[in-house]
Amino acid sequence: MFGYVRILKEELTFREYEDYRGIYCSLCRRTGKRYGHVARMLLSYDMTFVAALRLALGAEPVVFCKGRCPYNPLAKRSCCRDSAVLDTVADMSLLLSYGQLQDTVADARGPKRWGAWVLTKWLKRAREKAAVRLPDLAATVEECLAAQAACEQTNASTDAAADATARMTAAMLTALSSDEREQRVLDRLGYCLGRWIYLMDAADDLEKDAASGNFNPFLTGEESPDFPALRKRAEGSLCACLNETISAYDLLDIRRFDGILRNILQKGCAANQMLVTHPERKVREINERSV
Amino acid sequence: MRDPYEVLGVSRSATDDEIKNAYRTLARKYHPDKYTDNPLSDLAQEKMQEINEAYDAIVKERRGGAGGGAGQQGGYTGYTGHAGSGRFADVRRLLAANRYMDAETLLDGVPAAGRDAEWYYLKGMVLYRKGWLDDALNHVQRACQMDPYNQEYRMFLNRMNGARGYGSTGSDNGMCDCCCSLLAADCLCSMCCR
Repeated sequence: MFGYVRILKEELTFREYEDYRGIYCSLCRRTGKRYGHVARMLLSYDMTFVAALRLALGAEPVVFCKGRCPYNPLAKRSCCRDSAVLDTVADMSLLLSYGQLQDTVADARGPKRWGAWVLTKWLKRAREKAAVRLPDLAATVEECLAAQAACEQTNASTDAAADATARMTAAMLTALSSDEREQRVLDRLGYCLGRWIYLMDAADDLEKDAASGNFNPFLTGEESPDFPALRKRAEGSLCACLNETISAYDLLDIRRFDGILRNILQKGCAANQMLVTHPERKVREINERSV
Repeated sequence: MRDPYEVLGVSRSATDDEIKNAYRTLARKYHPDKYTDNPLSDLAQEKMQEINEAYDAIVKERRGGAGGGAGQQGGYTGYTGHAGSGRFADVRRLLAANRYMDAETLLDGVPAAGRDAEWYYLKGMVLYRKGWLDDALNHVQRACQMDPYNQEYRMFLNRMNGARGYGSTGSDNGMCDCCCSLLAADCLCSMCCR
């Protein structure tokens, strides 16, 4: 995952921010327990959103307590007292980030590729363990990565190109619930969010891909692309997708953390989107606008 | 039935105004206009019904069992396709039943020569439900070009274009944006601005 799905800190209350950090710490801790320290380095903000969603939908109460983090032992941090509910999210996170590493090994060049290669070797056992715990998701991730690679050979439309990531995210979110009604909403939410993430990554890499000749669904194969116009088009697609995501989210029965989740979807994602589609604007201006 | 106060998210000691406000906020959140053509529209409708019933129950209880509720029983009837008529009646029926993958199979079976404005509209609808929002827009635009005077296509196009800005469906955004765009589409809007 890419870390586009994150909070807009300025708009959170202190308490919500503290809770958000607590959720991150809990997920990190569980990942460490299950898959070791290297796996912890691969955690992303996107997965923190998934963890928050898991806790928000769960019937069990969430209790935070203070604890110390081995990486930053001076500061005390909140952490879920019973963070075992996040085990599934830790498994998902590992499967997805491993898939992404494989993708990097296949696509990237230079030191980035070697780094990813070393990590895939290091995490091979961990990935096998996660695949035993979530066999369906592991199969979906593998299938989607293959579909993605095939799609990039054929100059696909934005929708077709985003389909694999979208389906993968939908499969992941659907696995958070066992209620059929909730699963339908999560499927739509996940599909739109995954599509948004993929398109964000594509919009972010427009210039890089145009220079290197890599596949990008927003590029139309011209000699000298008109980047502002392409970004404008991308912004429309991204907005439509994010609005669709929020409409789906509105139908969930959220027990807690609604403020955090709404902040992420309505403000954090929108601010990130603004950063990507208007690179000429300064970060501060964007924060002012999104209020 | 769930406790009506719990459904509206208010305490039993809340004032009438607080209850009304809570109801309005929720009604905005689940408003059928927001979920027109959405694959989750039936769930939104269920939610809307639940809050309507809860509001009615509270009003009734507070008036000592007398008088009917003031909840919105809007004229919304879910997907309003003209099922049963025209060339693509079967496709429209499948769409109404939310079986959009089957509808797509049927549509894809139509040879290129037989693809008229309605075909592009329905294909756009299928793509929208699948979450293929860009291709959906392209198809509906095509439908509107082929048949510029069709209200049904035009309204779908307006909705899709309206969703391409920031916060178009944000629940704290009010209904007015949505109403304005609907009015622009020559739509009667008497049921949502109360």
